[in-house]
Amino acid sequence: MKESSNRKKKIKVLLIEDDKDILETVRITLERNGFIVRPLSHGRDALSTAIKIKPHVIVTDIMMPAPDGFEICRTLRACDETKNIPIIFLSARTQPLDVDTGFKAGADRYLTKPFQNEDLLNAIKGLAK
Amino acid sequence: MENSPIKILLIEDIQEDILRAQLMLSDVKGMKYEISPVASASVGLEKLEKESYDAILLNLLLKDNTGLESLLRIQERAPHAPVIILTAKEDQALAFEAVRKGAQDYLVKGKLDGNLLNQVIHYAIERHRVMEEMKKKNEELERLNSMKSEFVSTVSHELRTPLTVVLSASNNLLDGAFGELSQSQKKWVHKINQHAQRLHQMISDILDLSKLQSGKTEIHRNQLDMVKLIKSTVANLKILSKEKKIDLNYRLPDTLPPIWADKNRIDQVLTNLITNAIKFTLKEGTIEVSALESGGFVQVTVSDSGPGIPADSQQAIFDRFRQIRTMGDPASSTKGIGLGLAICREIVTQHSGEIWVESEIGKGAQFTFKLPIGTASLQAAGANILVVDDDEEICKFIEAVLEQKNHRVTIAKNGNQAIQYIDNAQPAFDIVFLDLMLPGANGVEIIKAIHKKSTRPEIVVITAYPNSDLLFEGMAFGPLTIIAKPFDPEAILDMAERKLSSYKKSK
Repeated sequence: MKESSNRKKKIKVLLIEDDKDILETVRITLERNGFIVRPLSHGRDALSTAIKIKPHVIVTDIMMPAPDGFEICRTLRACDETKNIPIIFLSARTQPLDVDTGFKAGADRYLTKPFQNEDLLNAIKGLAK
Repeated sequence: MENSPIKILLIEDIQEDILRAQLMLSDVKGMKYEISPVASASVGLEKLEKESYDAILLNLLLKDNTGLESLLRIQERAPHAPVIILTAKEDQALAFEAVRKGAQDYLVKGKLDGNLLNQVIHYAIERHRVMEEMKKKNEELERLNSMKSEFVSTVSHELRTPLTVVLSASNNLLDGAFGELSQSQKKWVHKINQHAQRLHQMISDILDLSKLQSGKTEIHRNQLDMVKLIKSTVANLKILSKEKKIDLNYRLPDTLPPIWADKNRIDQVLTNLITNAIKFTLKEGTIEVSALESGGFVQVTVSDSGPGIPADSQQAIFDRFRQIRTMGDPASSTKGIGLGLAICREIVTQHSGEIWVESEIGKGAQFTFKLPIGTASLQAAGANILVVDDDEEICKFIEAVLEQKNHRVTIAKNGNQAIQYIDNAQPAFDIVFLDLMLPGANGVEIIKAIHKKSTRPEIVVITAYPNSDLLFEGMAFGPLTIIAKPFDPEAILDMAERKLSSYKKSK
């Protein structure tokens, strides 16, 4: 990608979460760790926003009013402009079946809530290239 | 019962046998029977569609040749009515099979009289009623159980969302996201964070335990080297023990026989026991993890120099939400041990093992769990099987089938040889495939010899035409599994697998 020529890039994260408090507190954590965050409180604009801002990583909740995280993931994967953007699920669902569905929908990582700051930060750093 | 007649559907195409049954049942004193004879299973099924019966008498060898198939269809159509099989003497193999498939009983036609038939019908009706009730209760229990684990799973999920805010926000506060905190603000935000983490652990444990107990957790078994596992788990927990200046070490033999277990789960048990020990041991105490082989088990003990556990709570600590009341460290005495030990017990039990504690006040505690060895080698190298048959061709055939799946096969061509092998086998046989009619000692004597042994192999009788007397004599010592000749090689393998797993469970 063209960012490789930039001297110092800031990692851009699209954060989708319908719980406003979680959205804000995760945004604060990410921003304090040097990321640029674009928060979305629902998934309806996920695709258009992703196309517009070209995030390095997308972090999304799963259980949301339609479209839910699985659906968002499938939509992003079906679009040429967004299909290569890494997606991290951040979900309170911890059953193996959920994790499985998550990966089948095309996610790169699956983190459970409550999360450890380190895990989320490392996952984003590891996937942002 | 005396007033309303007992309604019987008689599925029989031999006119003479129908008359005989009617005559017999009309003879029974104080009993009224209403018998509806039909000549084929298909007409019987039609009748069952329209009417209900108290019991069904079924001849399995009807001319329409539907056999066991018709039994299954009848049971499906009329699950509340017991089926009693009528059979001629030479059809007993089929009758046994029918009983295994759910028929309540079978009757040999030649040996019947009115009182016996009356009694069998009554017992069958009663037995069937009890079985149906139990089935219903079981289904209800299963439904409740799955509702319970679904509930736990939903609750745990619902709790996670607010907890995420508490943990994440307090982390941000501690991190200075909203400005520098004063000393006491820091202290209390830190406490909020710590307690939220405990809550998180508890929620995960509740979910884990509920899943383990409902049998929904898969145990991924593999060959496991306990010496290696203990060394790595202890190394991982050194950081924790160093914080309290506790000397955490192990005393292990160079090698231990492998066990067949889920590494992550056993690691969980070990980690739990050691972390508990660290939690309850005073500063500068010692914790030792040791392991040894004993009586077919690998036994692991975690000993600590903590305050000990009073005798009256040693059982209870493995129950849910029990807490050890310690005499020592007041700080640790307030901490519940939550579900950790209940989870440990569940995991160990699912591995066919045991866990227990020995302790005396002031003298520390020793938590020990043991897991069976040998299952791994059975699984990998197959079972140790004896095949007894005087027909060399059959022996060779069974041997070839079993050896494909890595089972080790010994062949005995007569009864005396078989008994000799069984008495001297090292290790003992896991399964004996047995023909009953043999030169020398017959099959029943072999069965008798097997039942004298302390480690008893599973017995599978392979027989061409079950000679009822021999089979009955054999059954007097305990239930037998029967494979009828001619048999399908798959049936042999299938039986070996099934017997092997039931044998392991009972071990």
